[in-house]
Amino acid sequence: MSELRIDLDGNRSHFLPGDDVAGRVVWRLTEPSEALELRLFWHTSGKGTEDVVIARSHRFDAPGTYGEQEFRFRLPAGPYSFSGTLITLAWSLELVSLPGEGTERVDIVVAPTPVEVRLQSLGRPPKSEIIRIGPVRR
Amino acid sequence: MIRPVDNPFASRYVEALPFRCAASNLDDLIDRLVSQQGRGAVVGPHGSGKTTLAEALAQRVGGDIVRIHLGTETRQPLTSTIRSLPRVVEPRHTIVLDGAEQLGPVAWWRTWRQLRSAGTVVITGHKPGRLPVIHECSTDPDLLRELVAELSPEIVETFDLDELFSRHQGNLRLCFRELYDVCATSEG
Amino acid sequence: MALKLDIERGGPIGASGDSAAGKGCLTLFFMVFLGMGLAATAAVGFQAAREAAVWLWPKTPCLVRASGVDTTGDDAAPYQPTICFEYTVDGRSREGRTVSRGDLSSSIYDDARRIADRFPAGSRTACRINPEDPNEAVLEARPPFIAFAALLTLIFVAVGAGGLWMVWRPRRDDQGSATRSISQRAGGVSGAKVELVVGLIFTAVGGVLTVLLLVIPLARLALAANWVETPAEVISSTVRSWSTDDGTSHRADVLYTYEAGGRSWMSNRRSFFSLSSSDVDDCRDIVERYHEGRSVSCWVDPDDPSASVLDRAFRPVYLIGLFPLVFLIVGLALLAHSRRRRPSTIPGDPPTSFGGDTEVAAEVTLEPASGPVAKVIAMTVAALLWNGIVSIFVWQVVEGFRNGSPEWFLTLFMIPFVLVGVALIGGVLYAVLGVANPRPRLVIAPSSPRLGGRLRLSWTFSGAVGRIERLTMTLEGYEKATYRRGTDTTTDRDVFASTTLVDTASEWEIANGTAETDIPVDTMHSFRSDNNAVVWSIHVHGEVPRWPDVIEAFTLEVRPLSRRELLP
Repeated sequence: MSELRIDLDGNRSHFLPGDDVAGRVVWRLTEPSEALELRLFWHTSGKGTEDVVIARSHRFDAPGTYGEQEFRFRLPAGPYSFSGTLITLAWSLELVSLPGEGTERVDIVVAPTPVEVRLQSLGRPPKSEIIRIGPVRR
Repeated sequence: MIRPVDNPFASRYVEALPFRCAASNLDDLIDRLVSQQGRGAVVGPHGSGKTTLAEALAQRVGGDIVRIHLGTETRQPLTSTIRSLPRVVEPRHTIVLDGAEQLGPVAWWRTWRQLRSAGTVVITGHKPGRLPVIHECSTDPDLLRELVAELSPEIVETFDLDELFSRHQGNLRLCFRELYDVCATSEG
Repeated sequence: MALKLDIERGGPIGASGDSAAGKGCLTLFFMVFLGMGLAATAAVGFQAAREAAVWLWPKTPCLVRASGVDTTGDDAAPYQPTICFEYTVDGRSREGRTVSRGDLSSSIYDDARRIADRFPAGSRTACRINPEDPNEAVLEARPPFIAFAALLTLIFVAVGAGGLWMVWRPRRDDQGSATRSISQRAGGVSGAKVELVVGLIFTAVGGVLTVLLLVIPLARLALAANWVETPAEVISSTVRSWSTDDGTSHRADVLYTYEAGGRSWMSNRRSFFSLSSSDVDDCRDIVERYHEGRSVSCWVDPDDPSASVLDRAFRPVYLIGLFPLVFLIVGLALLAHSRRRRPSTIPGDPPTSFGGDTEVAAEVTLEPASGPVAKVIAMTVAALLWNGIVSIFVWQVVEGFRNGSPEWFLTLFMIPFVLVGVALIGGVLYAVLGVANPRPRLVIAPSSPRLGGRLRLSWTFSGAVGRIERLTMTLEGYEKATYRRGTDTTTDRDVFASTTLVDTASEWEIANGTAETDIPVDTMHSFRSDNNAVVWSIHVHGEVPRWPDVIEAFTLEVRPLSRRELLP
């Protein structure tokens, strides 16, 4: 059975925005694959349709059936990991085998605080449902 | 307060619910689809599971699945949405066209010209007309209870689901969205 | 559970997948357009060149023997100037009858007469002679106005060439890339371009037609207010009919004569509104009313006796000029709106859109995007269009009741449409009331405040700010989640932060003032993706007694902390 693994340096799971996410990917495949791709992305879940946005990615071509590689990604300044009432936004690293089904995922927190930002609901919608964006004059 | 990702009625869990129908099972519907040369329509009112069934049929048929969603608030014009079809539609393609009633007669004709080479085409709509009907979706309180039990057994015990079903006139999507709010605001 | 980030074993997802047969048909179709356009452009160009060539012909003296207006036999343009002149080339006397290259025939007698009057019989002038054929001579060289017709023919060329390019252009092939399948760009930039083009077309077409059908006739009407009533006699009165692309057009042609300024004049200008009609019965009624030999009155310009008109009264038909005005207004509105649209950023884009260490402007001015006048125009256009169409059917219903045979089905069917029309009229009135409202103008500093940072706000109002009894401004942060499934889309919003910035009933403070607050540090900054967003906004509410309140909202970008701000 194929094995894909992501090891983060220092076993970290929390990062400040702008930090480097570094570690090593390890793979042991039953059959050679065309490539492996490591993706750093954030995704939303909750009441709305889910969004997924890949912030960084790195492709390892012709990886063979086994091996390991180091990686380093610079995190952007945002968005933070957070949970409110309607939306949870979470960051993850995912290693996928291309083509094929093999995947491995590690969740991380990207926020100024050690845990995700929590938003407390005031239990009401905004005062104005229709928002007009004012043109900006400098 | 529960996190949105942990809310049992978050969109990801609701959309992952398998299609359920008392009158027919998925195998029967697949057989019907095959007997109609891989063309079929899933019809029914809002929130009755049309998209879920269409997705389940496509997954079962397999092949290269291409999904097109035409909503009343489609972000792109219909023409450019249609343009997201593969350059050459082949028998290996399984097309799911969700919201086919959004297409006027000319747009439907243009779309169908591109789709007809696909191995399987499943459309959804509110009423029959364009393709032979595979299944007409409908809902009842027992179905709602069954689905809610799968997502959150506690809610079944504590919430009047019959009243909820009646108030939303059988629209399961609206029922789930209200239950999301109930879970979001409950303690613990 | 692993996330599936790519379309399931999808084949190449590219643009439209036209079949070979379809492409062939489209190619043929657009080639026809292109061919026709090029042929027409060439014909126009050739004619324009012919007319322009006259400017290079040498001049020679000539004598005008006869000058007048003749009929052409063509009902579409029955009058043309006829001038006979004599000139000498190589010692030989020759005769010419051409005023200029190009068609001078017209449906308006006055136009032909004005040309003839420039060359009265017995006058001496100069004519231009074709150096390649001295038998061809013209009295004047005219600018090749026909060249403007190329603008129309070039449209066909553009459609044909553009269509061929659309069919045959290379398409991008995604090769199942997960990146493209996940993050979709909103159509901000390309949508604005389409809006700009459509707006330009509407403005151009609406503007030209408004000038021709409304402005010019009304201006002439106004100028004719001091014209003098003069006796006239109808010389000929006939219904002229000619074939067009849409069928047959008709016009009542009433030619009359009158005395003014010591001479006789002839004209066929019946009114300042010159559109032809498709109703032959209307034309026959006019011809009967102004039958041959009838003595009538015409109105003559005291400063130019050659200008006259039979009927200078304002008629309802002049209001047809309002229709192109609607297109002009819509076009201007589209142009204004397209200038305000901005491209949306890729959601979650790296540091440049999330503050990072980039420079932030010191302050920014916020104004509502759509002003009250724009709202009035938009509501008026909507109400005009809707009620204009509905009124046709309502008139039918009313006629049915008046005739004693009411159409009950149509009556019931029209009720909801009429109610919507009434609501739109109410909306117009409400918007008109809103025009009188004062409008807020906010200045915030910095332009993108950070979490935990200080937000400084100052405001002023334009308009009658004294009518505001109480002013509140609230800073709110809220989640916005949109769910799309099937054909349904619903959006929920939930506020997680709310701070009152201003709450005052003081007249001085309402008119202008400043406020400061700290953005909570332990909350979420602004972000948006296709279906989810965190939005920060300032809500302004000015209570106006017995009048629509001033209600405006402005979004602002609250940025995350930069790296320097995060580290001690």
